[in-house]
Amino acid sequence: MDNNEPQAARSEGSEAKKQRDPAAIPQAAEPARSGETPVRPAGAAGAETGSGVDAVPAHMHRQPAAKQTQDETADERADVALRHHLDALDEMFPFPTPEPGWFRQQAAEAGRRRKQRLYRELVLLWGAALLIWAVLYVAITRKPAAFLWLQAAAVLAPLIELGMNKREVRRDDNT
Amino acid sequence: MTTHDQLPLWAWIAIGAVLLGQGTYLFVDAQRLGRRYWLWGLWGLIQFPLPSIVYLLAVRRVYRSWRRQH
Repeated sequence: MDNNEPQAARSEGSEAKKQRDPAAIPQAAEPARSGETPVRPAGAAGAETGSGVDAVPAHMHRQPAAKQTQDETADERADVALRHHLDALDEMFPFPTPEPGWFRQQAAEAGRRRKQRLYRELVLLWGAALLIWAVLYVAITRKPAAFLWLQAAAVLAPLIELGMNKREVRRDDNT
Repeated sequence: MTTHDQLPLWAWIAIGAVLLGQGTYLFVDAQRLGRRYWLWGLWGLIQFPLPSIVYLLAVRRVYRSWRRQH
């Protein structure tokens, strides 16, 4: 299983730490003398059965339980149990990682949909253009004054709108 | 006879082409940048060249690159 590698690395790391730490050596020798049995975590049975959950750190077999705080032991037990159950979940519900081609296909599909939307909106815009030009032509032929008012409004309205939008953005930035 | 009566057909077509080109460009570019593209597109269909000038200054901010160069 995938989790074995980090666990093995962790136990190797703790072994190395013990070797560097001179105080740890006499502690490791004590259980043989006192006859205490080491505390084995719940997931340790997996190592014997070959189920792949051999995640019990090596130092837990040699070090006496009395030397470890109860919290540490409980944490390690919980860690092993958690990994065991997560592995079981992974096996029960395998989640396939999509191929890179799938992502490319999704991107191409999104681009195609965006283009289609753009063309549809452009057709709408050109339809609106015909309508607006018809109105402007009627205004310029029948009532030139109305045409001038329309042009003045067409200058002022977008500028006012843009100014208000800018003010809103500035207010949002300040808050 | 008024001014619009004196305009030949080709001038009307040219005005239409310029307005349509400007409106389409502003619409597509503003949509790409996520700015109010309907506003720019419709404004670009009505007048020339004020919408393009305001768009270049307000959205594209061309003065920034000009300032960097000088």
